[in-house]
Amino acid sequence: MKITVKNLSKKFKRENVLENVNATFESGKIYGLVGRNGSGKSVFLKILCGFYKPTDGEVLFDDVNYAEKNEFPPNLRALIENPSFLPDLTGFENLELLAKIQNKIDEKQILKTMNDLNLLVEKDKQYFKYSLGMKQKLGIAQVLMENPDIIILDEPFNGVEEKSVGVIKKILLELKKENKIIILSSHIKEDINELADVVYFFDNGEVKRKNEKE
Amino acid sequence: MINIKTIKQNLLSIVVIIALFIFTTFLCYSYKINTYHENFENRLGVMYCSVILKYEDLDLCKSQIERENVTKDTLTLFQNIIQDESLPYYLFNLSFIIIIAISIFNVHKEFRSLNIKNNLTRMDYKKYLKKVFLNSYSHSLIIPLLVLYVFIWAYSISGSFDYIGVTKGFYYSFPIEFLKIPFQFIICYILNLFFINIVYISIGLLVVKNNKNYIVSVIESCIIFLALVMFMSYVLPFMFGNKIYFYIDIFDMFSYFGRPSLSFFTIYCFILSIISILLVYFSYRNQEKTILILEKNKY
Repeated sequence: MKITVKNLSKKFKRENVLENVNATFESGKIYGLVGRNGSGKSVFLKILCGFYKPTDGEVLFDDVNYAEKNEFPPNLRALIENPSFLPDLTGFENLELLAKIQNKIDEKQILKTMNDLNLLVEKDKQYFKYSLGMKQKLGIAQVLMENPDIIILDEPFNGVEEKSVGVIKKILLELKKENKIIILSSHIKEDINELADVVYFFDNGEVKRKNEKE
Repeated sequence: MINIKTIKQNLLSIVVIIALFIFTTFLCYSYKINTYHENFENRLGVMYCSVILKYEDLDLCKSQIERENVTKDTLTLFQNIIQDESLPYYLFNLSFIIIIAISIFNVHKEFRSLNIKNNLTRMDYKKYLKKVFLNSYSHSLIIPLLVLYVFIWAYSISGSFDYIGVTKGFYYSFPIEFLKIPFQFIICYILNLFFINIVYISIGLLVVKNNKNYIVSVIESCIIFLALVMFMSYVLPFMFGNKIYFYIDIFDMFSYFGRPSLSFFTIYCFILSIISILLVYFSYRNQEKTILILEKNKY
């Protein structure tokens, strides 16, 4: 699997949010997006997910432009900005509801993912009663539970306690070995440096630099 | 199969539906008892007057004799229940508030939570909207089914479509021309309610994506509906003549007083429902715009 971003630009009314961004993402690597708040990282990730359409340029998933076909990229899961779930349902019910859309996994796999992220004890708690860290972990569980090929996590460690951050990092490194494309964005450079093989530096809607680990 | 989660997700709708059906059952049952008493007193009056008339020429008794074997027909009884001047009158005529409130409740939660972002990596936008809107539009069946339930009660109590009691002026009912075609009338009556409930829900759906607050969404939707009613009931008749009021008024959906044509009104309600659905479609068709609005109004 390969994602190719070619000359991507995005305007909202007259404001240029992304300008001529070029990037490639390949299987078996972790990619980091670094930049200040408002540098365009989240909009870039939303375009990758198909939530927004590019003003110019294109995003190709193995040479297929899903945005042009009004389709969503298959086997991609994302947590962008804040986790978003139905407040009255429990954590487990929220995941079950999402899993039923494609019916790829059963209850056991949902519970296994919750267990991996130390959420099992809280599975029957309503989402609105979750702490910030638990909400974040549930958002990550939503991304990982169906074993997607492309994983997008925007600020994944926000509010998560140190012990769980270690667990999540370990899971991501294991998934990298399984040949997944993992794209992380963070304003904390240390997290990205520790995990990412390739780092894109965003500033004012442009990719200013690309660093690759040897 | 309906499971606990489905019940939990639709709790408000389920509670309201059960409450409406329980209330309607009590209402219809009280009409059954009243009708029984009315018929009994009628028969007693006829017996009493037939004896009196042998000795005295009383007008009151003459008119009582005329009531012999005259009972309320199904549609008259149905009209009396639906338009009962106590609570049911307000319940049915103000049902648009209930329908708007329950039909946008889940949509509001879905939109405000931004759960759309989790859904859109698993299904396409059109399918997502279909899922959310079908759930919402399904509420357009509640009032028509409730009215059908009342009709079945009325038929089980009356068992007749003979409207002689209305022609003789004993009972107040729907206009005679509709009593002549009872089945056609009740089908159109229920269909029109279904179409107009689609309009209520469409207004709710147009409003809900732009509001953070659920109560504000409900109030704003009701105000928009009432403004539409005012426009149709006052502005248009003022411009094109008072006669058109009875053709296009959509506030009084229950009495059919003065309605000149059943088929015209049914086609009119159908067109209104289609227009309202199209407006919803155009308002939501752009995925990016919708997401941007929802992101602005998230919890």
